[in-house]
Amino acid sequence: MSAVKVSNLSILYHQIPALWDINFEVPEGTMVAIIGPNGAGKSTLLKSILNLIKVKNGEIEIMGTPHHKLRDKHKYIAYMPQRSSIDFDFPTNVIDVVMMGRYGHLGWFKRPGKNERELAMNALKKFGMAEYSHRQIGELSGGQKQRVFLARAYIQQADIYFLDEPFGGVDSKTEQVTLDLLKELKDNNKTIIVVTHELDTLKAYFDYIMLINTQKIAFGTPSEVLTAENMQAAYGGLMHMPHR
Amino acid sequence: MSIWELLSNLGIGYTLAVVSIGAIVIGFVTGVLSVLFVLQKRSVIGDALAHASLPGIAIGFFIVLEKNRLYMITGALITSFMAIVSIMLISKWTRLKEDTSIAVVLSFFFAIGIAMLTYIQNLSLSAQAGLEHYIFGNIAFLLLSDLKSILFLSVIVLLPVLLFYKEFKIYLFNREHAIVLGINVKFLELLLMVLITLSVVLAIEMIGVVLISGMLVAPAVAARQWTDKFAKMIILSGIISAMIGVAGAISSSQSFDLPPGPIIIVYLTLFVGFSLLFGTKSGIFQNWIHRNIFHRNVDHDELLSEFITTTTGLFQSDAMTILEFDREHYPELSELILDKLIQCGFCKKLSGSKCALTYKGIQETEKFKSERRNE
Repeated sequence: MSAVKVSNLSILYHQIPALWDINFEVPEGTMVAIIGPNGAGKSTLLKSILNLIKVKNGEIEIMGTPHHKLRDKHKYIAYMPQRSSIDFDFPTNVIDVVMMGRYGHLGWFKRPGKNERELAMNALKKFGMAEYSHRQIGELSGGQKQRVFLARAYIQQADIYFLDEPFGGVDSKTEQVTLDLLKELKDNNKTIIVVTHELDTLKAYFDYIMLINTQKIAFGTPSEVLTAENMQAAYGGLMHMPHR
Repeated sequence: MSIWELLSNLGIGYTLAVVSIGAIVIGFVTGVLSVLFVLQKRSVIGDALAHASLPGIAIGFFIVLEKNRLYMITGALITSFMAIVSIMLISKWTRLKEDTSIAVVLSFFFAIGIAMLTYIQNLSLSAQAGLEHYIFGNIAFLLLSDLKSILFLSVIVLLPVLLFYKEFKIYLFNREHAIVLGINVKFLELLLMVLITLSVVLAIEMIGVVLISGMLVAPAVAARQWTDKFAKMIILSGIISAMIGVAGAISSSQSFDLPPGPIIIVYLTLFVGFSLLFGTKSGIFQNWIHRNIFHRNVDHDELLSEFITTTTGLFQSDAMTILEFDREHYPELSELILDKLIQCGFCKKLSGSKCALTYKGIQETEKFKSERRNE
């Protein structure tokens, strides 16, 4: 079964396509990168899979169920947003944010308790953030903020993990923590979908790469996708092949 | 001995006691709601809601030709809802920005409301007395029976906040995350809108249509300066608003025939100013202390690491040929870090938002990067 199946997906903003006729399937237990130049629709693709953007043309299936029919979404989908989308002035602290990862499991009316606090604390320890558990979330560095959101996704224990730009502007420790988490999730047969533009050093980790620029340019293993021809098609003349 | 006798023995008249209790309850409810409202970051909508409730109140009066709270509330809910729907439809179908459509809809509904109230006042009915209070507010005529309906309405407004506390928190903090977890965000948005309209209706007699949006913003802003916890902010905001509400109501009833609305808003604004200056969490004074004393001893490595990571684009070329940068391109680069870099002599400010690394800064970052590569 595919963890995620996208069929004939098109997204238009004021008649201008942000995504055009996207088709691909992510097999369960694999790690996939969505790459492409700025404005290529990477985040739009992620958000339409997550149902954060209304999909009028095309279909999204999560674990074999159309997304709009999906019940208990929190069991299937965990999401780490881009840091820039968060209001860091919000009155809340680190451990409270992490516990939000369990809110879906709690259901309506129930409050997080000792169990959730323990799970959150363990996750913070794992990501080297235990000592910051009572900091206001704005009082952290960029990398530390990211580790808080990793912990929030981690304690959700979902089947599919979506990460939006986890490698953009973070320190080396956070990068390492993020990579370790991805490896651990993969070992536990979780599916991982990452939007990123820093592919150079990371391509070894991914099973599949989805290269887009409004349309699908290529989908396949890194060696199939990262050819000079495909990169030319996606990035135009702006980027030359990474050499090492 | 009844509670009223007790109060009158304490030198508090019956009327003043009723008015004070009313002001405390109304203040507390609007204070609590103001937190949800401000954190939703759509405070302009509140102004539209308040102004749009006026024709509803007039219609409610018109139907039964007396000041019946139930009819007026229902009327207010209906016209406020119509206003919100029109705003949404205008923003959706035309290319007008939301604030423009709010302005259009707000003034239209308010105009209708004023016209209707004026019409009603020109009828010679005995029951119309005091309808003009809905514009600037008045609380001196509050009766015990009013107090009962105010208490009832307050419970209706506060109960959902208590029940859906967790859901509101996650929705207000990170709407997208709430959606991904399968929380019904549309329901919460609708509920919040209804609750805000209800609290507008609740407070409208005391504050008046024109100034009510201040009451829905100021308490939360003040409370935020003293706490950075969501639950504490809600309670604190409620208390601040209740205290100032009662202070304003008492001042109004004691002197000069001034309506309570403007007095309350003046008190509130003064308190917001005080909080912005001296608040312990994000007050200006506190931030100044934080910046100048608390952060005097900062770890160089941490500073450089933060600088390099927040400006990745700048350092993508290993040759470090770009020494000048525009800090607007690096929103994550905090003022604090930049200040510190400048203090350490690693950076200097150029014109506008442009900055540059100094020779010392280049050497230090290079050293730091090569150390990190060797780790």
